[in-house]
Order: sequence, then C-alpha cells, then structure tokens
Amino acid sequence: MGLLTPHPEEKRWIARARKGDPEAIAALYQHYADGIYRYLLYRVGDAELAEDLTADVFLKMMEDLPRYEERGLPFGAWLFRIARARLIDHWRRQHRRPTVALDNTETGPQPIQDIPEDEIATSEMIERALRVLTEEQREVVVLRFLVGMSLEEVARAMGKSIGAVKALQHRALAALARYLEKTR
Amino acid sequence: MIPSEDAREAEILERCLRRLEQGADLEVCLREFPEAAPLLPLLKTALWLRKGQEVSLRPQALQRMIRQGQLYASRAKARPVVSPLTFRWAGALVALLGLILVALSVVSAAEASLPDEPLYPVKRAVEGLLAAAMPPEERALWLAERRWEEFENAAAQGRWLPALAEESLHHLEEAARFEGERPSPQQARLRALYERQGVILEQAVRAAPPETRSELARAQRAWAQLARMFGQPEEEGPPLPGEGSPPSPAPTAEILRERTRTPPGLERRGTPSLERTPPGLEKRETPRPQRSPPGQERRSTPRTPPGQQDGGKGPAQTPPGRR
Repeated sequence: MGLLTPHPEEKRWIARARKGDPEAIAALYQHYADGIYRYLLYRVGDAELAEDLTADVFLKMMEDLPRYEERGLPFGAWLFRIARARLIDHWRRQHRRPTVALDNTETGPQPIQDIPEDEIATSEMIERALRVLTEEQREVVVLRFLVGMSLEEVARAMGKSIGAVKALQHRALAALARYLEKTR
Repeated sequence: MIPSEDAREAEILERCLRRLEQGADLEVCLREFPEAAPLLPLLKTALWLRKGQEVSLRPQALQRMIRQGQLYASRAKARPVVSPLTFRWAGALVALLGLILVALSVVSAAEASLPDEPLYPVKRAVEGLLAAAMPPEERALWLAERRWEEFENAAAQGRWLPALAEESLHHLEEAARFEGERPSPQQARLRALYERQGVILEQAVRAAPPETRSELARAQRAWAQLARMFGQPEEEGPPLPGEGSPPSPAPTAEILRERTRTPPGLERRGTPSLERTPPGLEKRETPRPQRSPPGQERRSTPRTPPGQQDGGKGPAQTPPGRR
C-alpha cells in the first residue's frame, strides 16, 4: 500500500485520535509508519537515524492533529509534508547536501539488530545505487518506487507537473539501469 | 525542453509501469506495448527498486513510537485545547482592538489640530458624526465654541484665521436664534462666548498683521450685528476698552475683564492692555473723547467704526435721535 493511500477508516481514526483514543492513534501509526520510514531511510541512508526522524514526524503529527483540516490535502499528503520538512531541517542542522551519502562511503548503513539480513542487503544496495542520481531524480525514485506513491502523488509532493516527473523518472531509471549494468 | 522522442519514451515507460503495478509481469507488458522493448532495462530496474518496499520499520521501534504518541495524547487531554476557530476569532479580535486603539489615538491627536494641519480633516469628520447626534440648538453652540477655540489656539501660535471667527459667529447666531425661540440653560454659555468673542476680536484687530486685519474687522462687524440677539443695541456694540468712560456702563466692562482672559498668543504679540495703545498703532487710532458730552454721561460714547480711524477726523457723532 502506497504512502498516500487512505484507509477506509482513516477519517474515523483521525476524529478519535483527536480525542486521545489510543487505538485510533495506534491505527494511524501502523498505517503510515512504514512509508514514512522508507522515505526517510532512502534519503538519509541510515536506519537508526531514519527511525529517530520517523518518531519526530509522528510526534509532530500528534501536536498538529487538532489543527489538521482536509481541504483538498489528504491526511497522507499532509503527513508526508511533515516528513519532508523534518528531513530538510535535519539536513540544515547537518550542513550537508543529500548528494553525498552520510558516512556510508566505506561502512554502509549502520546495522541495527533485528533487521533481516536480506533487507539490510537490499536497502544497502539500493542506497548505493541512488547516489548516482541527481537530487530531483532521487526524490522521484524514492517516492515512486520505494515509498509507493502514484505519479500524480509524486508530482503534487514535489510541486512539479506530471510531464516533468515522467521525464525525471525516465532519466533516473535509465541512469540506474546503466549503473546496475556496470556493477554486475 | 524534452525532445519529443524522450517524451514519447517517458510516456510509454509510465504506461508499462502502471501495468506492472496492477500485477502484470514484463511479458504481458511488452506484449501490450511492443514499442516498450528498448525500455526493458528500465522496467527491470523499476521492478528491482520495488523490492525496497519490503523494508519496514522495526516492530519494537513502531511500538515505542505508538506509546510515545499515546502518552502525548493523554497529556494533551489534560491541557485545554484551543481550536483553530478560537485562534482565528482571537486573532480577529486582537486585530480589531488594535485598529480601534489606533483610530482612537488618531482621533485624540486630531482633536488639537488646526486648519491646514494633516489631522484636521479627521477632526472635522469625527465632529460631523458627533454633531449629527446632537439636538440642533446644542450642535450650533457646540460648533461655535469649537471654532472659536480653534481661532484662539491659532492666534496663540501667531496664525490669524478670520474664517474660523466668522464660522464661529455663524454658528453662534444660529444658536442664538434657537435660544430666542426656546430659552434654555445654555443661555449663559451663549452669552459668555459672545462676550469673549467681542474682547478677543477687539484685540485681534489691533494685533494682527495688516494682511488679515481687514478680514478680522469684518468678523468684528459681524459680531457687532449679533448684539441685538444678546440684549444690546446693535449700533453701539460692546463698550470700547480704555476709554476712560464713566463707570456706567462700566459694569459691562468689569464683567468682561473678570470673565475673559487674553490668550497667551495675543499677549505675546504685544496686544495692548485695555489702557495702552500698542506701539506703532498710535497714529492709526482715532482720538477718542476723554469725557462724555454734557447730558450724556450715562451713555457710552459711540465707537468710531473700523476703517474710519485714519485721518483723525475727530470723535464719531452720536447718531441722530439717540441720546
């Protein structure tokens, strides 16, 4: 299920979560946590850091939940905006640009206990491959293929036209295909 | 600009990707879109990337986050929550209060303004609103007092504004007419203002520069013509100061001296005291009789009309028929 795919019960969850219903809060977390985590993981390249940032995003969600109003902006899209803002804030504090991997040039992402080996391998490989892309190409690939957004959702999230996103997607996949051909 | 060939390829690529997302495999996709054959490496890359969706948040981390969120919610419940609507209303109220405060400040600052000053139109506008709510008789007197106050304040600054004096007299006349129809407690205010105007105009005519003196004299004449409304003979007008006249009608002069006070500005400009001619003006003064003609001690000596003081033609004659 993609990041922005709303659950049929979502509106009820939101209304009850506003009142402090623990079950509704848990339901929102469970529905969106993986997508947010994957987005942050493939943007920062560090699982532990991605977990911390994900926790910040959902805490911010709880703070702003009373003020959320669905005016053409679905809850998932609203949550993604929080995640993106948190990521940018993280980069500003780190004084780094995302084109350079964070401490992963030699050791790779920090291993965390309880993560399956194959998942670590997959995420490591993908994270290395993403380094060959430009910032915008990486954003499209992460949102479209790793988080699971539709083309229209990616376009809205990035503030670009659908045609522009298609072009970025085409060039990104072509660059990744060339990279994978060389590394095999 | 994207070359048309690239745009076509991008479009075909997107169609294939959608078919793959719907569950079709590569073979089905290529059968449906034969033109996508050159894009096979890209489609394979996309399928490989989708494996990244198998990565998920550690269950322990997820549970920790859920507990954190639930704890936050339980604490927030104990705190009063201000809804967005309340914020908006509060913001609007603060903005409105700020606007009212600014408006009151402007109105307050405008109250002391005079003609040709930036805030004077504001003063007049507010005055118009307030006056509209007043009874006509009260309004006329109020406006007369306000215009006269402005005239005196301007004079204190060395600005002579005969138009203000005339406007005040116009309102005074209007107020006096109402008073004539239906006497009211405002009679004392009317009279006090009239008497004050007479004294001040007298002094103003003497102290003002030549370019405004004629207009002030005209205002003074207009004032004199109102005398009948206040129980005085029109032709005589108020008694001249410093004449050395006998005590009667000295009570009027006494009352004037007691009731009126020369504005500071007029004093600074060398407004002569009632007993002294201002310097530089002696030659323009018509010599006044030192004593009343025999048989007319009780009447005030007629005053030389303004504009006829030059030439020293002697004291004005008592009008025929009057003693």
